[in-house]
Amino acid sequence: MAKIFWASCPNCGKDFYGARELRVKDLDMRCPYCKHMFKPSQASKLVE
Amino acid sequence: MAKDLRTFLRDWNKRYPDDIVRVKKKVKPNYEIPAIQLALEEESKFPGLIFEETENLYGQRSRFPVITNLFASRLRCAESIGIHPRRVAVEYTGKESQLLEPVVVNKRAAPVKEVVVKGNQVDLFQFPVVTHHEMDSAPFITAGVVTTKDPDSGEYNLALQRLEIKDKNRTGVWISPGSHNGHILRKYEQAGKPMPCVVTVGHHPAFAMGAQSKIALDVGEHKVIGALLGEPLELIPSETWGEDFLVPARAELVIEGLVPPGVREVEAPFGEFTRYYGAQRYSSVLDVTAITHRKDAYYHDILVSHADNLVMGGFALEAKIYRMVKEAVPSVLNVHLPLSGCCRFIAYVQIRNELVGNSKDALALALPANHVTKHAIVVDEDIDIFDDREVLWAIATRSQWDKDVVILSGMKGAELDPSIMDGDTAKGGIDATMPPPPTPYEKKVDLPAEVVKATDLKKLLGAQLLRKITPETW
Repeated sequence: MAKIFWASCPNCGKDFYGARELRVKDLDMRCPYCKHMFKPSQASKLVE
Repeated sequence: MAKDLRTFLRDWNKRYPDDIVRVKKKVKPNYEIPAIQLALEEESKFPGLIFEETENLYGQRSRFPVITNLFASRLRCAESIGIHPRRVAVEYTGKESQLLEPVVVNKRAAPVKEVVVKGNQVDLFQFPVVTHHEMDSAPFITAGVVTTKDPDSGEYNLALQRLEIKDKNRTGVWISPGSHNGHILRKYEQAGKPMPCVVTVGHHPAFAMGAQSKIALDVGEHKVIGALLGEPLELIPSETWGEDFLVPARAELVIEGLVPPGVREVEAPFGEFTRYYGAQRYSSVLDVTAITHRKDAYYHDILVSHADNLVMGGFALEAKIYRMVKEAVPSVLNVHLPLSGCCRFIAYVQIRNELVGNSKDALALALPANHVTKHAIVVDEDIDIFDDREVLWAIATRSQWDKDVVILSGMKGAELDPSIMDGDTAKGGIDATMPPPPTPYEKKVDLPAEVVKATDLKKLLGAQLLRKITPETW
């Protein structure tokens, strides 16, 4: 299983990735581009 | 005067007047400084850089110049601690064995106390903290030597660890669970206590290089730094804990703070030494209690994932692998961790292959010497381990896959290695040596030495024509 997953920010649409743990626990992520906070389940797109 | 960044710059400039360049044109710390380093690196040029006109995190002119690329040159790193760039493994090992206890000085001898800021006056935004790569989550302090103190032994532990700027008085701090600082943090967290923590930014190069030492936890890197400096490191009581936690007296900038137990906040992505971004994760935080600095402090930055970060980080690892191999293979000659392997993942080990088994023993000892190195190649003394092409040639002509490969499975690997999927790693090595005597082996082609020595292309072709011939790099 991959140890990271890609997420698309629901605010700015840009992509970045987080450690698997964030996805498993649905912990808040912070977009490095626009600083918007969101949960992985709220990402506009996930690649995992 | 005791050694520090200022004495280093003064002495270095006398020996190599053009090797540390002052940039007077205004340059922004977000991406522009790293872009200049990258452009120079692409031309295989690695000067130290001082940016005199830059901005703080308010977008105002910074009072503090940025010094960076200081560690990008192997020559500069080695000579700054009095060793030869091609003999680091051997000579760093020698230095590490001459530990020097630090000394405590008074405030008059401590330029880091020229400016003292405490409590709600603390403001990290006044510094020109660099944002390095496009997907980095924030500006990161990357030349911060994070110092903790073992609550049981009372010994200090130092390591270069990144700090993400979160607020004027708060940073993220990534403390790898497998590191000595991670071990100490667990002790404080198990006791439910905040961990005192000091971050030193800017000092003599020996400071950060000694902090990278791979010595036992109970030795303390302050003593290694003294060994590399060739004189005791000068310390002074901190503002937050007084004599209970000493800080470097001749640093440029010292940040004191507490790591609260059990607190983890979202942090990163961050461009790592692997040349990939490390994933966003939850990391510890540092609540800053005091900042002390010189009036005209240099703000030191390291461009992680490039030579500035890679070269210096490899020194202590080369020394450790050399020490480990030497235990069983006394004919080991040298070790090099090349830039092509991030100065971490790949080790070239050079031996005089005297006895059957020496080369495989060297592989078996080099691979577990640290958790980051996962490929090792053992070569003979006629192979230049500072030239990737020669090492590849040795593999090509002196190894057989069914006889010369060692694989160790289920080992601890580097957490940041993107190829590790299941927690552990497999390490492997290639024995690229010729069989030891008396087994005969083919001879490398050569020419009569006197003919080679007498051949002068400039005389033969003319300097102008010689310059016009385009070098090919593949």
